[in-house]
Amino acid sequence: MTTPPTEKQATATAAPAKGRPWPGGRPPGRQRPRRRGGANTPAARAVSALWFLTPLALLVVVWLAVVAVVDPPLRVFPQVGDVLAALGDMWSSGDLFDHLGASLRRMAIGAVIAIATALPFGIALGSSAALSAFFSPLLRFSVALAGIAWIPVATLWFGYGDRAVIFIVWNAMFFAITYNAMLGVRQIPIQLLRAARSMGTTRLRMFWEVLLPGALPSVVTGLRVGLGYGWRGLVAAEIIASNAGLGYALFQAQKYFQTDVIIASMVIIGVLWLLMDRLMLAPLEKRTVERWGMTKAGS
Amino acid sequence: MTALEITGLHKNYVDSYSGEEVTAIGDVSFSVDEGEFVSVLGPSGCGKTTVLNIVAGFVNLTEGSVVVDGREVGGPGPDRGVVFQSHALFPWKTVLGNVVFGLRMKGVPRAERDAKGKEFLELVGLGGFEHKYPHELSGGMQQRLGVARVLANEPAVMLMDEPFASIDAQTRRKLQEDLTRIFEKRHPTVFFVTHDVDEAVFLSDRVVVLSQRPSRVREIVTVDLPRPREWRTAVELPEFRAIANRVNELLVDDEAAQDDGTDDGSGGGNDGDGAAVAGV
Repeated sequence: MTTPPTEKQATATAAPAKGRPWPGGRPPGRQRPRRRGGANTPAARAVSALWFLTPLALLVVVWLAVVAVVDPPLRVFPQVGDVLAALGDMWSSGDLFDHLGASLRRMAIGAVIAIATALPFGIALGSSAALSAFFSPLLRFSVALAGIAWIPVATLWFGYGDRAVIFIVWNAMFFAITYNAMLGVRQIPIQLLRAARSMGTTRLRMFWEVLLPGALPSVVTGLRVGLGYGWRGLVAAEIIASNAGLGYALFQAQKYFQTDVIIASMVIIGVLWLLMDRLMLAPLEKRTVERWGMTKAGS
Repeated sequence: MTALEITGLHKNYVDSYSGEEVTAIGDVSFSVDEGEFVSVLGPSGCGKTTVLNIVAGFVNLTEGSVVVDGREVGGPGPDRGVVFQSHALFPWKTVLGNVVFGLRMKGVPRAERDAKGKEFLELVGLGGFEHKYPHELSGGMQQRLGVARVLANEPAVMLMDEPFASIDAQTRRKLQEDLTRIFEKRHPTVFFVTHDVDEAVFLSDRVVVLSQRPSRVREIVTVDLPRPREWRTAVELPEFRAIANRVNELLVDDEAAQDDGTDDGSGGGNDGDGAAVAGV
């Protein structure tokens, strides 16, 4: 039942978005079940936020210092103040919300479709040896091509606009989520499956009752990796196949050497990703996998 | 009335590494009456867990028949509840969620199943822990929850696969007494697999002693010790020692016979533990 760890590592290391980029108040690999509410006191939260923000603040300081010393022209690299000013302009002109809205909407639609299709598919693959034997070569073949490589085909199929971008987001996320859901199901101890079956669980109910929750630690990893892929696919697709969105803003600014707008757009994309991780994935993990004591050793 | 009837059970499987055909179970027949506690005991690797897995419906038999409550067994079903050595609790369900799982699968209405779940939690001494998660319980409590989860389902027979083997010695004694108390109170039908002679004798009405692989029934020993039983008094009963010694002799005899038989061969007769469980 165990799968070679190399496969998992291959997907995981291929994705820089895997896992928590910073130890949010909790050093990696030491996720011990703790007393309820232990990490929710205001003091603990402040410490956690501090740990999270310090590296980012340091980055800004280094940026300020390097640009001050080197003093490059604005068309090469902007100073922190320039980027803040560009953000202010984008805010007041309303561009920020147009682009942000377009990107978030596409991301949300693509992600919902990806999760709705990839989770059942991955769980079906994990629970059937025949299915996974058949689809595994196709999956592995597709992983390298997922997302960006499909942009030319997507524009041919859907033209320039929302549908092509949503297709790319879906495509970029689909394989990572499928693969990790499949691994997650395979890691469920056979005794749990047997216990459920010997208590009269039908095949259909196994999905919600056992397979999905049992695979959740790995599914959360898949969501992290997949959402990371999705964001990258989104930005790339918007550069090529769209006339709105953060990727488009990035690309337009490049035409006019507006490095301040370019960096501002990049900052927005990065911050959105962090917010999504902190506000959606981390709470999901906390309420399920961690609450249930299912955290994987060394993850 | 007979709750479980095993007749001429025979199991072959093909070893997935060597490709050889292995006989795990030669010929096993015995029955368990309703409300009876029967232990299956044998040297390690004798295939006793395979017998349990066949009764549970997890593993197919090669020949023979297994009848539970008058029906031939084919695949797992709620008439046979299993208590696993690894507990096999659902980590994503609360203690109460685990206990009522089987009732929920049967479609028992919420109020009814929660009341029943709480009743069985009280029975195993887990009252007040309803809203904890399994990982917050000690090993002993987890296994009591495993027992409650099966009993709440009211199966025709409760199958227990070395349930206390991974629990420390002190707690194990306590759990054995708890199980005996529960058995004496509710009289479920129990099929209990173990390699611990004292445990088998202490708990059981009868002990089925299996031989080395390919296993067959060496002898069925009746344990007519008075109930209620507790360790403190049981160990002082001469009958208890006599029965335990008898069972031990059967096991030792068998090992000696097996050693003689394989001395001139490859000598691999005793390390079949992994192979016999491989089909599980």
